[in-house]
Amino acid sequence: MDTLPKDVVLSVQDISISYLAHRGRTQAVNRVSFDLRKGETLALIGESGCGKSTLSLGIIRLLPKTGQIDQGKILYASRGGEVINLLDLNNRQLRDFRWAECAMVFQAALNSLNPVIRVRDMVYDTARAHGRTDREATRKRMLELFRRVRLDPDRVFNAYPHELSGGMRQRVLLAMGVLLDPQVVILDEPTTAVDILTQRTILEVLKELRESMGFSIVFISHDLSIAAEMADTVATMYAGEIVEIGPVNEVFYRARHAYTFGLLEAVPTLSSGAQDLISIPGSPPDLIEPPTGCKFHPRCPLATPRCAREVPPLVEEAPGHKVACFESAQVLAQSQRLAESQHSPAGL
Amino acid sequence: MEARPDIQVVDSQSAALWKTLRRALTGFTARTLLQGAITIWAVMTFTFILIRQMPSNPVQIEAERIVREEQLSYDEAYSRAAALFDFNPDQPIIEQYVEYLGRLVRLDLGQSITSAGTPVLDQILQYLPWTVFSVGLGLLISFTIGIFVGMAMAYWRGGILDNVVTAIASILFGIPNYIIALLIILILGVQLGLIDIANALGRVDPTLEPGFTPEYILSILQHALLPVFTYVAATVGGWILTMKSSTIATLGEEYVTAAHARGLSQWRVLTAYVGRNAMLPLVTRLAISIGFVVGGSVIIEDIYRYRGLGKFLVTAIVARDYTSMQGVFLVIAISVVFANILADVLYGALDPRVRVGGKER
Repeated sequence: MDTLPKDVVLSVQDISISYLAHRGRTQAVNRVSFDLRKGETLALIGESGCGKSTLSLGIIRLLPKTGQIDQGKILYASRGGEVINLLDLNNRQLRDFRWAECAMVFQAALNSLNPVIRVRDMVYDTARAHGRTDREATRKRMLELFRRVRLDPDRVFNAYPHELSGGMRQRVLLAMGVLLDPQVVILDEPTTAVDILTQRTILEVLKELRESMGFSIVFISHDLSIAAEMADTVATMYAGEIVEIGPVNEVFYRARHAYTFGLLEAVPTLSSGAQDLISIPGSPPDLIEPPTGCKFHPRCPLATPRCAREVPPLVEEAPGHKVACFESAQVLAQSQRLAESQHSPAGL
Repeated sequence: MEARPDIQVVDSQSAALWKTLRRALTGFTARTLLQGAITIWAVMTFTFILIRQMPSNPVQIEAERIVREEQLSYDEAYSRAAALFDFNPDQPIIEQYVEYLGRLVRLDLGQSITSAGTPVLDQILQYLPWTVFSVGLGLLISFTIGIFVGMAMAYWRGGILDNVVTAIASILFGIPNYIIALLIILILGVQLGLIDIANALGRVDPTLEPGFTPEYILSILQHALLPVFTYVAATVGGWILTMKSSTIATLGEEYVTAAHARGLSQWRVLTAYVGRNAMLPLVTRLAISIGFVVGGSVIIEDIYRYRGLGKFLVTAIVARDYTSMQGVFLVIAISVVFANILADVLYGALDPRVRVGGKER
């Protein structure tokens, strides 16, 4: 029987996920571990294709048919205190688990709603799938949630998806996500496809919901400023691995991994001009035949021969701050200089 | 406003469906009807002129028959044939047209030229039900098989079912229906002797008394078996392949993954999320096929000696029976036009995004 520390709600332990491609197995997620505490917001950041979305689909066991979880455990602590390994659940149990315990808001809000039925039918479908057959109660709760995400409840409830704007649809998805009062909500780039003002609204209603309902969030983003604003903990993913994880201020002010530092340098601020931006050279590695040693070494300005030979282990270098980099001391020095020069890099 | 919650609770699936249909129908306006009427008139006029441009005319054809059978001189035969029919080939076409149009607005399709005294409408009404029954049944079976098999193949893509059926469907899709009909007669009937062809042809056993007796109905079904099977075999491949590709596209949609993420049952996702969206492109095709129910059966009915509207049309063409041909073409035009209107209405009911005219809520 697995156990978890009392305040941990979701624990991903040593998870590897691969896809079967024509050329061979693609190692999309490689031995990833993290704990999500109750009420905590964890931001997963990284480039496109680094395995963030695969990891989140793996958690709710919705990988496409070609994807499979090769090893590891995903432990979940239910409200009753029972600890279950999600990889042991059968289809029926998984269906019950999804949304009621862990909801997921997908990246493409425009396509996440069935175009031919009304919002209310999707809401009723969801409630009925979880045994909540009292339509009036469901309706009341949904209208209340729509009000809280600042939507016109009656209009939205009876609307077809195409009658709503992108920002409205995103908020509909958010509100539907918490309909069944889940403990964990996974948000896959919830603000990617909307303009900056809509983005603000979404982040604000998200914070309000989080405060009042107390769910934990796994927040997937490539936008560091949003991650900095929302997250308690930040994990940087590179080529399917978590290369750095720690409290938000630790990671952003005292980055210890060359890749995280590279991402920070690539963020524009109001005070910096375009010439100050430094992008990371090269592109993400081939995941079928990944580089030896540290997977980031071909692109890393600080790489040494050792980086190409040995895989750096993930070690805790400061309280709660783990990093997998041989040159973390050098990176730390650089990122402290960057923090000083910019005054508030995390408030970007 | 306070009454709303109660209405919502009572609002059952069927009531919702009815509301949807009614809203779809409001988009169907007088303009649609007028367009349809103009189309039918145009088709009528074109066919009126075109069929009279065919070589020979009913009187000449009949005269030639008399010459062959009774050894009369052509002139004698011609005057006898002319006296036989209530049709004057020397009348100017414009006069014929005006006369025809005048009768048509009174819903009178005129008399058959070659069998004088028989109204064309009666003839059509006698033959039409058989064609609608056989082709319609074939279409229904074909569409249903196509939807379910196509969906199943998309769902288990790359499996045995998918590979085998895709091959069969592609082959069937490529063979014209009359070849299939001939192959059935040749292989099943002549070579293997599995079917008693003499008894299978026609539309019913002529020795039986018409009526709602089990024998008569059974005989109708037996005789419909070959044509219906042919229609199904010739069209089912197309339905299967279209539904398969449409379902594959839909399965990749984010809202399907999202529906699974919400814990919906497999069945609910398959019907309301995958099936309904995947079927949209097929609805238009179905409606168009309904339009061709009447006209699409000419050769098959001829091969199987199935006396439906198609067979009637062939007979009329051979005898240059202008009024009968005109009547059949009119029926075909009307059904195609109505099928298109039906497609619009159906599509509107199934896909809220294309609803026209109707106000939103």
